[in-house]
Amino acid sequence: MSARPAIPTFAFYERVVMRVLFAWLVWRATPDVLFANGIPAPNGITRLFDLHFLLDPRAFAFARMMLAAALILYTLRFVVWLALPVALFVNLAANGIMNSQGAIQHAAQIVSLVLLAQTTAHFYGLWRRRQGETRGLLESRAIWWSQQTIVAVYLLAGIAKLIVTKGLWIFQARWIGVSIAKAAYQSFYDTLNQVDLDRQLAMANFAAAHGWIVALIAATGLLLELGSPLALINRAWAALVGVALVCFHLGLDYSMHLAFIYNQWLLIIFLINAPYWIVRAGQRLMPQRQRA
Amino acid sequence: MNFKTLPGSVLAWLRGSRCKCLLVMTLLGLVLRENYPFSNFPMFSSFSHKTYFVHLTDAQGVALGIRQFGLSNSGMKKIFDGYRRKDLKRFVNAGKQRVPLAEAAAAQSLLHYLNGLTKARPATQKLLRGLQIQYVKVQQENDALRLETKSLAQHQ
Repeated sequence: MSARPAIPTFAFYERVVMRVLFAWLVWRATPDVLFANGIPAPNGITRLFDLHFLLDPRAFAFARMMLAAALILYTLRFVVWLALPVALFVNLAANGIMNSQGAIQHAAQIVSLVLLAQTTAHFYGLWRRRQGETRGLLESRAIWWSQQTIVAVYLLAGIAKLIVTKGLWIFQARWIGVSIAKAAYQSFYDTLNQVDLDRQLAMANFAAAHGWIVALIAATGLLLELGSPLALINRAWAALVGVALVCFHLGLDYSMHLAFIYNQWLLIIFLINAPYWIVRAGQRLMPQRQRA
Repeated sequence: MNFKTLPGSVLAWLRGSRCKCLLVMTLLGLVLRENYPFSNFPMFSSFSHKTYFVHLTDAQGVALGIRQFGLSNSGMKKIFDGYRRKDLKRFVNAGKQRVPLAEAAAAQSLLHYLNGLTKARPATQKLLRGLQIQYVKVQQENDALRLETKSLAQHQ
């Protein structure tokens, strides 16, 4: 029996698709305008660097141009050592400012973390190459670390639930109806769009009336988060966990308008990895066709 | 067990692990908590039988969509919550008046913050006159949900 390789390798077409989609996602997950009232509650990167200069619309427009250029270079695999740090800085700075308004938002965080993991993996890979590692592993490591980072986000969310509630999260989940109602109204007061409000409030009332049933459903979500490292076993597990987590997000979106759309896209790009399964299915079908 | 060799053993194990990045990212999230881009992702990590949210209305009490200010309602609530926590510390000796005083002060701070946001979106300036911060308490009682609304502050 051969040992599993330390880094799984990915075919050229997989890497290209992942690169293009991830570049697009970074672009989407970086604010195009900073609607910020200064940096009143510095958080993360804004504690380390004075980023007030980016509040000037001209400076930020320039930063967005740099980001666009960096993402094009990243997609073409040209001067990646420069493209990744530039993209990382602009993404972290813009989202850091938006998260320094007194409210931490977790929507774009996972994209920033994957970008950070890819940048670190690239430079680590360059260092390893000097020690004789093959060139082909450079991008595969970045993908492998991206997968691990995505899994870490879900694992952390599961661990946080156990730490905060001292292991009693499932018992507290019988009050989830209160949170569903709050999320429904908060979503409504964003734009005053009443389309889903009645359905969500009906779900909130059902959850309040049948707390233990809903708690059991919520428990499957917690198990999914804690079991997310299974995605790192092999491609099939990655796809399985990826699909399960996307379904989990779709359920949350339906009940609470919490889409976590960037999470879903990262799961689709790096865990589900549809191009691999399409090509594999094609390879299995083609010989049969030839025989026929 | 020899604790002196423990760090070395842990490092050696980490070096041999396929999932270094998972371990490092998980540890960083747990240690650094909410420090962008790191987080321990505490959203929905606990539930209670009561919670609250805030929303905006005009002087007549007609609801206004917060997206007009470039904010989300959950973001606005978190900002309000940050002010509220600070003001609860400030009014620690106010006895029974502590919470109402802190909430009123936090609502004033929120109005001030929204005022500043209109610099980036001048079109929203006209919304400020008479703007009210509404506080809605959501509570579960006997398997049913109950809502209570009160106005905390009004823009002059």
